[in-house]
Amino acid sequence: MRRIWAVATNTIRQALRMKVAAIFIVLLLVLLPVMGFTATGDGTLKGRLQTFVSYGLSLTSMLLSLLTIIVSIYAITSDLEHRQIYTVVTKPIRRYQIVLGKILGVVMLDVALLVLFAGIVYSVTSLIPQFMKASDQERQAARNEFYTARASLVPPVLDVQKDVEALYTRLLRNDQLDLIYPNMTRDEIFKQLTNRLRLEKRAATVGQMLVWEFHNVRPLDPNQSLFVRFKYDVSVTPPDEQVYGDWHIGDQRQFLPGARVQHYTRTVRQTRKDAVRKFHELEAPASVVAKDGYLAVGFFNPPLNETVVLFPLEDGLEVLYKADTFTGNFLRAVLLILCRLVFLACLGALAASFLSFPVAILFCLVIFFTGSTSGFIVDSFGYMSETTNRIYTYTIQGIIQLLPQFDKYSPTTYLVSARLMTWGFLGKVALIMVIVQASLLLAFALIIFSFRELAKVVV
Amino acid sequence: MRTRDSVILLVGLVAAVGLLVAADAQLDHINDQRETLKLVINPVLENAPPSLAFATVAMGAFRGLVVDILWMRADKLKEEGQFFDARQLAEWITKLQPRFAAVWEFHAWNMAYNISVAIPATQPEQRWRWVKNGYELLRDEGIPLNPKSIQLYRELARIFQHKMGGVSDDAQKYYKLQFAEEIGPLLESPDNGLSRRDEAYYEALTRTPTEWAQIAKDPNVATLIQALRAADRNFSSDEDFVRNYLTLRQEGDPRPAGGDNRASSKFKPAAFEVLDAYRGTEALKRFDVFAKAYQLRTVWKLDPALMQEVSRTYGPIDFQDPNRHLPLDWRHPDSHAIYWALKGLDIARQQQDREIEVHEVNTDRMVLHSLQNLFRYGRIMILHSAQAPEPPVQGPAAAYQQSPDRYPRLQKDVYLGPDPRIFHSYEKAFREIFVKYGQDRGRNESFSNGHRNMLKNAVLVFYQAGLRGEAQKIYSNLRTRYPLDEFKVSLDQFARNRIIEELDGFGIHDASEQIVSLLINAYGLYAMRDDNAAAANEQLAQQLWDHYFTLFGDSERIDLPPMRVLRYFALGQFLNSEAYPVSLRQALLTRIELEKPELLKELKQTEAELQQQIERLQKTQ
Repeated sequence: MRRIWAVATNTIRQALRMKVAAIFIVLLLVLLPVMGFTATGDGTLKGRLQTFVSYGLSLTSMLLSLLTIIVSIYAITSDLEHRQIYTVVTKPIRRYQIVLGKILGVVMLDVALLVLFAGIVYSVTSLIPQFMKASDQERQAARNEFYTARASLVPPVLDVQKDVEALYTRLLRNDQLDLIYPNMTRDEIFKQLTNRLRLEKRAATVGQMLVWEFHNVRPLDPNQSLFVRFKYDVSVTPPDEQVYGDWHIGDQRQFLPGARVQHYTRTVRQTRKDAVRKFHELEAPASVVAKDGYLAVGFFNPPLNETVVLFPLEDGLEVLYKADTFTGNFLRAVLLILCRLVFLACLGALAASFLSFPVAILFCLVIFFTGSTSGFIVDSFGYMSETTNRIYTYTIQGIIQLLPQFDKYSPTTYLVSARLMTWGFLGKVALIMVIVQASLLLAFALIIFSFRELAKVVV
Repeated sequence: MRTRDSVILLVGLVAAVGLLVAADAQLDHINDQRETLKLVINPVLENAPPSLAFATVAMGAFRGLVVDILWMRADKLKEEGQFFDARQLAEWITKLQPRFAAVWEFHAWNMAYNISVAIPATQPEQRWRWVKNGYELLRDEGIPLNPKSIQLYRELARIFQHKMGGVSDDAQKYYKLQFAEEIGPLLESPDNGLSRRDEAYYEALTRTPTEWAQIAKDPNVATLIQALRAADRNFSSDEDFVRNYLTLRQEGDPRPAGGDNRASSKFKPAAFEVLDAYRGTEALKRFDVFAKAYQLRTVWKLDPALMQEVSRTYGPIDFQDPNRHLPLDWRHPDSHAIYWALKGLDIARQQQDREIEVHEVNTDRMVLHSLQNLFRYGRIMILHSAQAPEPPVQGPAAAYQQSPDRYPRLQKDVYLGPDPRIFHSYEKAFREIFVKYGQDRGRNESFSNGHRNMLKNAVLVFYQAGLRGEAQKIYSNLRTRYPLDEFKVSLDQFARNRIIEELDGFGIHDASEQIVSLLINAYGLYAMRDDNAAAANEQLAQQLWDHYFTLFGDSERIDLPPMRVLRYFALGQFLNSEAYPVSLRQALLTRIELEKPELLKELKQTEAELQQQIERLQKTQ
């Protein structure tokens, strides 16, 4: 361990002597505070905070990622290029210990820089409200919708298997399958029917009420607010693209006939008009949640509307309530970035173990940028022609799935929308990115470096 | 390095520099050819701001990549329903792709339409912010960088006409009020005794100097400028002088409800004293007009000369002299829609042998629709009233309340009424467009359908307003141009048929509601001193009552109250309706007392009769 530690400290010293490291560090030290005071967003306090955190953390993450790649590759390739490796390998240190020491040094440097810059981002985020003129309403919105960590509850996926089978059988018996679903396999038809039946359960005709029940709702502070985030879709778009909605939130069990109520739980009713196909959030006091964690959310489609109102399956409705603090969420976001940096350090070590410096950099940058945009790339396949889509799906998509999906695990998404990033989620990412992927890369790096010919010139 | 290598290097360098110089020398000629051969729509980007020049050039081949990343981010945030970064991303994308008109069009539409409606209607000020972001992006940045792109003018006109001038958005009244409040002070000069209705005001705006340096040289005005500079440091900068002067005037001049804003102003009392000292002087009169023209040009990007021309072509006519056009009300968004649409059409017209594209057709349509809107809702009335202070909220909800007021609040409401004077401008615009599209049957037919409907509505509007002569002229035109069976009847019969068409399908209960609703409208218009429109509504209410009294026969007559009873109910509803400001309701009562004593007597009699009926009913129970 002493040997690994020695290599690690040496690596840190080497990295700090690098001009690129100094440039990145100075860039961040200057840009972050400037960004904090110049970011305007949409002009509101919340918008400003969201913009700063989004760009501040993204910039920190990106620059530290690039720095990690460069330093981890340079640490190994420079020793090889300048033949300094000969003075090291002749010492009583194993090759795998050299690589481990290099990576440990890079990771320690990352931790130190991440703490520094994340600290700056956090401090500026905390100070912005003091320097900005904002109305009471804006400050309240910032407290409720930014300086918090909201857990999300979505309605459970309904089991419609039996209904689907019954419907399929009926359509088959009446010879309607080919008419309605031409040229489709049984599985494809089942998928369509399942979606259709699930959506029917989330559609309210005029005069109909939909009720969703949630359990284990545990707001951190009953004096705070919870939010119901929803998006309407409609069968016939109204001329002004808006529909009325009558919302009821609370414990509906206390109104059932024969209900025995020990403590009356407050209920809230809101009638409002909202645009279709856009996200909206309605606020209710957290005291509407019953003591046992039960919450019902009801939507009534009033006769003022002349259309069926649907709530899309994926993102039509969710309940958001405060479950943790902004500080806790921020800490987890920073740890998520650290997982990414650890992965990149191991990737850099692998690349450097058998490639020269420029080629290794190129290799790692391609993987990094592809990993950062993989979600968008895969989504874009859907907009291409059917043939091209199929080709890409069976070739490129497979390769992309193997790569790290940095955009899927983006920390800023959680902070900007004040959504709770749980320790479980962080653990899952750490497991995938660090324990599985990074370890695999590290293992390959150690094996390759251990057996490679050090005196051989690599071009 | 060997000598041979050095020589090769030197020759290479010299050749490179020489070729670069030669290429640069050709650049102007190449750009001229691009314009002559019509290879590009927009001129070469010259004198662009440094940030724009840097963004479009310095990134080189990476510009496309950066643009892709920004679009991806914008798309992702839009899918998530997050709009905090929309404005900034729109700014960056448009900076990197300044010549791609569709980019400007998309972002302006996204902000004005998509993002604004995502905000609840209970926050109209937030909605207004996004609508404003949308049209400012086009007006202040998109169009100056793409001055020949007609689609940007059309989109800007559309935001004014449809989003702000239309009625589909719940917050449309708020938009109209804010817009009118912001531009209103620039449309009049009380120092010169000129209001927005005076042609002379717009004439003065076109004649005043256009540059600061020119007005500063005027010896009269120079003393005013120096006095303000000496009085307050806010006036030390030339760039901010005009803006600060206009703010000073707004805060220092008396308000409609009395008082002024001097106490809470950022300006020193000495500045107000200068203002007071110069009131009525030639210096202030000249500078006032200059400042307003300057603000219209630089901030609102409106050319007073073009405003004047647009008013002279499409302004409302003076019924006393139909050849004379009065100024458009530039507080109305549709006036701006016409302005920008005409500017775009002007650009298109510069290409004589062009093929007319869909953007140009739609821009022509924009002019017609805006004129139709002005016909239907062109009169803006801003009413001021005092509202009781909001009581302090108790309990946990107190955290959500802004500081409770101690004093009554001044509330403003905007009301829109029809402006029949616009009709002739509409008719003229239609005729020009009809000639323009000459042989294109499809487009002509489409324009003609809209024209026919407009004429039908106009006949009814003028007929109900008591302007029978005008109604007859329009009807004659309608019959000549569109010889359909429905127009082969007399004017009176046509008007009756139209009313019955609108009432078709109403039951007896609907009829009572409709009559009361028309009477409430009539009372509102009467309170606003729009007597013609009030009379039209009252007449229509009477016609409706007559129609149903005849139609439903004896068995159902008993359910249709007498007209005087419906008038009484309508008055009661109007006086209790919070949709109308208190001042308006009081104004109605005053007018009825002073000008319609017979109506007052009838209402009092009806009230007494109803009271007796109620007492009789209570005794029998």
